[in-house]
This record gives sequence, structure tokens and C-alpha cells, in this order.
Amino acid sequence: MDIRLPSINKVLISGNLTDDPRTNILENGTHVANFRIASNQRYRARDGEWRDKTCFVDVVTWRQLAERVASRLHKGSPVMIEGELQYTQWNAQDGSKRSRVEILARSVQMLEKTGESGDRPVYSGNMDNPPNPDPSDEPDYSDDIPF
Amino acid sequence: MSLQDRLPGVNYAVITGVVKKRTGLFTTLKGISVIHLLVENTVENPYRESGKSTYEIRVDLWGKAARALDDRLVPGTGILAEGLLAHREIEDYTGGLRHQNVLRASRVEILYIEKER
Repeated sequence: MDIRLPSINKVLISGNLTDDPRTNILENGTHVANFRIASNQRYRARDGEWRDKTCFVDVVTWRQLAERVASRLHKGSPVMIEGELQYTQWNAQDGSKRSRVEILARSVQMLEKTGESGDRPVYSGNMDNPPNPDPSDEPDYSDDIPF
Repeated sequence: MSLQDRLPGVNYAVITGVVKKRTGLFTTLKGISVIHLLVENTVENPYRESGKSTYEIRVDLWGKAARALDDRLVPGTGILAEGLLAHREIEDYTGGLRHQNVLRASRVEILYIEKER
């Protein structure tokens, strides 16, 4: 029996927005919102001290989710993101090729308490496609990585 | 800071894909073994004519796991990589800083090797 490679790409990450979301409306009326989160990972260093290491990652949302994100989130908002990693490529001004990995969010859970009930809304939407080691041993990256 | 103010430190990522490129096993200045991988991840995408999207995801594998899998992680190998998203800064050829997100794998499972397909 031939079994093909399963298709898995899932991310679950919490963090705080580093800035207000940037929103855009495409010619076809589709909303898109981009933002960046800072996600802190607490770890115990070799000296026994607890430290935080921050991971910055870009997030993109589409359609209704983008509208909700734009209206409800702001710089500093704590969120839980569920989505998938995606890879985008573009040409920089100097002509060189650039690429980055970002999260295509499927749902955004706002962790800031709203009102006395302390409800934490979860926003999700159909965004199937845009329209078109021991951390205490944090290594240095002085070595060249060829990709 | 009270407990209620502390954001839960959730950071989990899992992908499957095929090793497209890799570095050799090398050791950092702190004496830790590492392999950097470029993994081609394909996900179904009904909105595309091809029915799929293909992404290139950087995956780092550290320590004992890197040493144990060094011989087997050849280009063409199908893997499952699980770990956390990490952020790193590297200096490009102009001296400028570039930011990269990588999947720092705590577990890599080999699903097939090229000659087994």
C-alpha cells in the first residue's frame, strides 16, 4: 500500500501585539489585517535564573476575522493565535529576493478581559486562502546559514 | 505582576514536509550540536488551481537529536517536525540585520527516506 506524506501545518502561539494592526482593503473588497506579536518563553538559564526569551512573529488575517481584529485589537493586546505557517517571498528594493515565514491565523482569541464577566471572545473565520533545545543554551547565530 | 496578568507562554508548531536543503552537523561556540534544515511543506488549498500550497520552512534541530539524526536527514527525506517557533537575527552580506522565524524542533520523526518511496 502506498501512503503519501500527511499534510500537517499547525501553530498555536500566545503573545502581545507589538503595534496596532495594519489593515487594508483589496480592490475586490476583501479585508486583510497584518500585525506582529511578541511571544515570551520563560526558561531557566544555566545560572539558575529565570529569563524570558522573546519570539517576534508576523500574523496575517483575512476577511471577517481581519475586520474584527482591526476593530478590537491594539498595541499590547494579549492574544492566542491558532493557524498555520506560511511562507511569502518578495523582491526587495535592491533587487534581492526576500522571504519570511508568517502565521496565517485561523482564529484569534482575545485574552484581555472585557467587562465584568471576563468574557474572552474568540474570533475565527474562513481564511482558507487569501484571495489571490534547551532554551537556556540559546546558541549564537554567528555561523553562516546558507539558506 | 499577579498570576492573572501573566500571559500563558504557549508556543507550539508542527509541520510535515520534505527536507529540501540542510547544513552539515556543526557545533556552536557553546559546544552544542545543530543542524539547520529547509523543509518543503505542502498543504491542501482548494482555492489554488493546483489544489495545494507549498511553503519553505526553516527547521533547527539541536543537541542529541541532531547528532542522532545527522546521517538520516538527507535531502528528500520526509519528516514530521514538532517544537516551537523561534526568532533569530542574522547578518546579511550588506551587514544589515535580517529577522527569521524558524521552527526549533524538539522532536523530528522520519516518515520516509527518498530511496524508500
